[in-house]
Amino acid sequence: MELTRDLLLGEEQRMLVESVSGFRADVLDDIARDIDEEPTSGKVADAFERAARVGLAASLLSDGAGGQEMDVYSFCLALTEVSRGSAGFAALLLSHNLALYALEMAGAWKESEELTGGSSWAALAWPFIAGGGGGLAPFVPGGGGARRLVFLAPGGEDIFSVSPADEGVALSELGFPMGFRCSRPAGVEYSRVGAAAAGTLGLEAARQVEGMLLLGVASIALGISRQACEKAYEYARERYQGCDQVIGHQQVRLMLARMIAGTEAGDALVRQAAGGDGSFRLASCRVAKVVACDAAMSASLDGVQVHGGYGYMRDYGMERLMRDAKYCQAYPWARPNELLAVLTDLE
Amino acid sequence: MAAGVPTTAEVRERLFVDFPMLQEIARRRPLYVEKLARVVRDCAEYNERYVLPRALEIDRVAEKDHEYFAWDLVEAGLKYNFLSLIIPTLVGGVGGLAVLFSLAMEEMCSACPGVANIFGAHALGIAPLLVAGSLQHWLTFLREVTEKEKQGKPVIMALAITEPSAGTDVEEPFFLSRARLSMSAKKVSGGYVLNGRKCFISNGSVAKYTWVTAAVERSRPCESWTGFLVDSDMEGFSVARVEEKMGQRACPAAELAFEDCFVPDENVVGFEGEGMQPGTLLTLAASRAPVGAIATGIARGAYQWFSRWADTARNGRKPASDQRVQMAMADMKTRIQLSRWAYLNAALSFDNSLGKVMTGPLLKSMEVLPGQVLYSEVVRRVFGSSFGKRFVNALIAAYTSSDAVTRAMANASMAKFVGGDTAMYVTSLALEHMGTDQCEERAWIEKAFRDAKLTQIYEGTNQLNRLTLYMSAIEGSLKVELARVLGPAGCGKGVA
Ligand SMILES: Cc1cc2nc3c(=O)[nH]c(=O)nc-3n(C[C@H](O)[C@H](O)[C@H](O)COP(=O)(O)OP(=O)(O)OC[C@H]3O[C@@H](n4cnc5c(N)ncnc54)[C@H](O)[C@@H]3O)c2cc1C
Repeated sequence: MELTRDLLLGEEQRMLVESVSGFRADVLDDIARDIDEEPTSGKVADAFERAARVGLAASLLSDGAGGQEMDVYSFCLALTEVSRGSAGFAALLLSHNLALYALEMAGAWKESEELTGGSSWAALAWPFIAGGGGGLAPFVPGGGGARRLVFLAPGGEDIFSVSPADEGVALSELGFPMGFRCSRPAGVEYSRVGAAAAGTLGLEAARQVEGMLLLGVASIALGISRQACEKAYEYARERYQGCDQVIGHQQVRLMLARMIAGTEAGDALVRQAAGGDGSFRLASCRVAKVVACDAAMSASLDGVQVHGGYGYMRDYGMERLMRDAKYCQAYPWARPNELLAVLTDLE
Repeated sequence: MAAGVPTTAEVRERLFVDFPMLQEIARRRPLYVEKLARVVRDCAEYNERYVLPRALEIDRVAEKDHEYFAWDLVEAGLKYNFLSLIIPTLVGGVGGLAVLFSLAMEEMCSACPGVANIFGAHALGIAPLLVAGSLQHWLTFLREVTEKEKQGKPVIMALAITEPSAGTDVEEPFFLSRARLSMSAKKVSGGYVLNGRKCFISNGSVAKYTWVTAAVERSRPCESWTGFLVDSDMEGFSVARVEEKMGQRACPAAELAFEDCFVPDENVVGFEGEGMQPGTLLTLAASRAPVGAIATGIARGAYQWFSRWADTARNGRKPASDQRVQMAMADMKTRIQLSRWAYLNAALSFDNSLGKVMTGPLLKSMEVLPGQVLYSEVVRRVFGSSFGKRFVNALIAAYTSSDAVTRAMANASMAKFVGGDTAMYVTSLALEHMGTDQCEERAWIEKAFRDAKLTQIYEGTNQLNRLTLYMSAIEGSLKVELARVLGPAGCGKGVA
């Protein structure tokens, strides 16, 4: 299904989407259900290694640091494509790539060198909520199994890169979140923010990381929406019910059209907010994030509905979309707080 | 959410607050309302003692092992008579109708809709025997359920209408006439031979008896649609697979296979050709209000957990002190109350139409018959005969009308989709406000969110239920036709 976004892609972006789509087809589609159900099985690590081979584990790093030097929008496109296979895996890649990117921006690149090989990942522990000489990041995609955890200290100036085994780090893998499961989300506490930082990021750069995180989640949401649209559309054409192909029923057509409209709106806002020169308006990133995630939520719910009872079954992969969409809405901030922050930013 | 077991009087007071019309009813029928309160209290106790300590664990276990079934929880429900809530007192049941059962479902689902749906789907399997008035089956199968319940041995029932390529189509007469059916029933000497598959059948893998529909003539599916009571021991019946679901995992849904499965004539429910009109339509008219209640219970449970979360200080501040949370809670409470009224309204309209047959003086007077007479072979044969079936049909026609049950069906469809949409709305909104906060409350609400989605799908998708409401209450083209005293009911869209 070709949406407006696809028509606007440049040659390089088109090639990127095709290549990531190849990774999705070769690696993710087959294991998406398994890694959702058994995140610790080792398949996630294998997939991560394969992702690294196609440049998805160092997407934002500079050429000098062995990265792909992707611009923000290209990174968003890549995440959307990965997310169509597994939103949880896309969340892991987002967390890892941003952790490395923040370290490079802070001049703490050495810390991440060991991570570009692709055998293990880092996780960005953000938001990091201060308290009692340290702080807590309550939900860190990629936290479980991460080699390094990267914190932006409250205020955003200093950046810390620690190993889960380091003194002052307490990592607890979250038992059974319903979404982003294969990213093994964890709660992370860190009590030694007084210790030497790995580098200094600065407020502006910290805002940039936040903006990219928001757009990254928005892009994951867009992957969910696209997948829901496409799978529901295909299914509605195959299935006969009510004396007709399901797609022949006006109410089903309306549902599909609504799903497409939401995806288009999210696409447009992400594209606009990602801009061209890498400088963001945080409020625009928030708006794009909220709209894209709401669209994913409603598209995935409708996608399940179009599938009827089959949509409720794990074999069809539709229910996973709605579980993950809920986490897109919730991460990194609760949706109403994200919305309230739009106004604060503008003020 | 654990809140201590209320007394019957406390439950009664709460019911009066939730549904003020009940106070009015209590003035005329105090014993009836007392019975409602007692059953709801039992459900609250069952939740507190058995379900709440286990529900999250069962959800996780059944995710890995989708054939898992908590027999012990069903057994724990026997002392509360949960398997005989809607079975007439004539054969030893509690004698509840739609209102009683709906209230029970709301209460149970506030803890775990998966566990509740074991009893819900069981009642769904019983409903066709009640509405088709097949008295001989009451005296045999339903009596077996109540008797075994007293002995501590659960006999579970199920209802199977959905087929792999016909879901919406088997819930509505007009669509059925052009459905792609896989099941067939062939008349042979002494019975019928069933072939084909039914899918997504709640309790399908654990039920002893399943009400199964099939067309006897493929070219006239609606006119020949017939209900059969299939015993899981019958040759040719098997469980083909148990589904892996997103939620309501405590209640397994199975695909059932029928390969030359012989079903004797005496297991035909009603007459041949009465499977859709009135069988399926009346069953759904009876069962969709309780599904609205299931959804309302899910929403209520999520709301209760959310309230606890909102009232717990985080970083020195209670979420409930934020206006955003206050508004959300007001919306949630409103929606829950509206869906409660919708299902109780629908349940009342069922109880006041078809329900009157079950509680009417004729059946009541039969209760004085000694067991040796009531359960004698002669009485069973009489009610199983064509004459007996027509007699019951005549009884139904005398107590209610096609218009009244059509209204009940329309109200039930309304209750079903209002409830399902409410459950999704409330659980979704709660999670939006909680962000990624990982706490006990969140685990319950996430489960409720997954469980809730099913209430927009089963018993006809919410879209189909909107169509049913339109066709029956607005356009007037769909009408439930009561079984005729002479000959079976008609089919099609029902406008004669
Ligand atoms: C967990 C679970 C438990 C269940 N338990 C039982 C049970 O115990 N017994 C039983 O018999 N069944 C059971 N069902 C089946 C359930 O009732 C059906 O799934 C439901 O009726 C929808 O049918 P379907 O899945 O075939 O969807 P379809 O009918 O294929 O519908 C697909 C989509 O098309 C839409 N659609 C279809 N026809 C029309 C039309 N004419 N106009 C407009 N839109 C239309 C639907 O709304 C839906 O969005 C269960 C299902 C599930 C998932």
